[in-house]
Amino acid sequence: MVVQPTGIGALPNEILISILSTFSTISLLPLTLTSHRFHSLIAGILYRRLIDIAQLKDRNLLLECYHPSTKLSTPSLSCEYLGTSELDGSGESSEADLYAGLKECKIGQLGKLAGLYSHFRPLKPEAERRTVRRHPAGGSFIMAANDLVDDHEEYVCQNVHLEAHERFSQLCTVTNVVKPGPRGLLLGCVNISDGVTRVQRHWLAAQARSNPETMSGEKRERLLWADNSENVGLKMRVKERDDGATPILVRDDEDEAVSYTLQYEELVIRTKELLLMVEKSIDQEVSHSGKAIVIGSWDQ
Amino acid sequence: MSETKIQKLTLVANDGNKIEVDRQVAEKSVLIKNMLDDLGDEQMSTEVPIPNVNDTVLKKVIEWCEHHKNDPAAPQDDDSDSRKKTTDIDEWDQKFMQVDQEMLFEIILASNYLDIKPLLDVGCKTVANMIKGKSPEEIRKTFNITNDFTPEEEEQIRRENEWAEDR
Repeated sequence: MVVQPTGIGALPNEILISILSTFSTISLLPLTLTSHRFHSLIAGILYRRLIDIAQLKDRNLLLECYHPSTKLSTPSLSCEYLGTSELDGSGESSEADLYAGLKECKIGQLGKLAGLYSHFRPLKPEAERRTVRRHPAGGSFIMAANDLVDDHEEYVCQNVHLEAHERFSQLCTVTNVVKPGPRGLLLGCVNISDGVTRVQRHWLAAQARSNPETMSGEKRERLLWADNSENVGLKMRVKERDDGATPILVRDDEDEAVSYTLQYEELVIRTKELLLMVEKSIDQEVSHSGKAIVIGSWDQ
Repeated sequence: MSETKIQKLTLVANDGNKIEVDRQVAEKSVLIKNMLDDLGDEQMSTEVPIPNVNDTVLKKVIEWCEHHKNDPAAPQDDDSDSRKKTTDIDEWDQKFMQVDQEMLFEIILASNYLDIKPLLDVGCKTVANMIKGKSPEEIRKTFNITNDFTPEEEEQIRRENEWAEDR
């Protein structure tokens, strides 16, 4: 047996991992600069945390997506987890492939991890919570309290309407991760994003013309980002809607009033953002644990 | 306590030194406990060789087991929440862990080999506390780790590890 002083290098990986696992993601990241060993172990820990957080085991992801005018009446949609992958990847790569790919490269795993996105499907709101009202005057179209429509058996659909003078419509996208408690109470809520996006007239037109089944390579094109740092986006299909109100006189340089239905295929969230925000809320949960008891007794 | 309950066991370290301990103390080690369960009580008189641990470290580990022999068995909580566990260490254990680094890592390795989970936890927490709040440079210095990155690699990691830059 070679006699040499036992140092940190003598520890097997699993022990070093359990030591490093006590750190939060924010404090782990700078430690990657220590050595190759630290770097690859931490990348492994972070990978597992990202995959773990994306599944949101005891939490729910809620999406609110509305035109600013229907803020109060649009229900929040809970979302179902679909998977986590690189945005520009081949699409069908499994999480195992992803891990193998990470292990191959000596360096650069952190960048890849930061480029991971988790995909969720917004679920249709429960029927009783939807408020669909007939127009009091009994017009030719349905006046809904919000713009959500039941237009597709699987996807949540929303109408947008652009008047002739409008070049864009607005869409507020709010995503929250909530921790459901007993009796419908929420134990915690983390805001992941809150942004207003402009849905441009030309973008809608281009999307409506393209056939979503045939285009696979331009995934990014079909995403509507809800923020500037490309952390949260909506993947949607756009269908032109004919509401039968074709104007009789149109000037040459005037755009027509148009209506589209947006079908929300996927909500895409940068996974690291999800992880950082949820970790932040765990810290808050710990420091607010006294408050939780107060809420509990109020409920009785 | 009945006479039959307290039995003595002889542990043999890898340098041949024999240490006599109470069975209750030795059974803090899941490895030894399982061995005794498998072999049955007739084997109690025989010596138990601990080939991976030297005399000084074994004594130190036994000292810890003696002090904690009456602790209730730790509940088997799932490891998924390990991050939420604090890095607080009880006072006696803190004093116990005031040893040089070589000894600290020897204790961790021995408790891993002997399967003494609470001692391994204390060891890991001690190392975590040594890492906490230090820059990579300071960590390298503390643990005598060589920087094996090329300047280009270092630069790339520096760019990639800023996940929370825009906050």
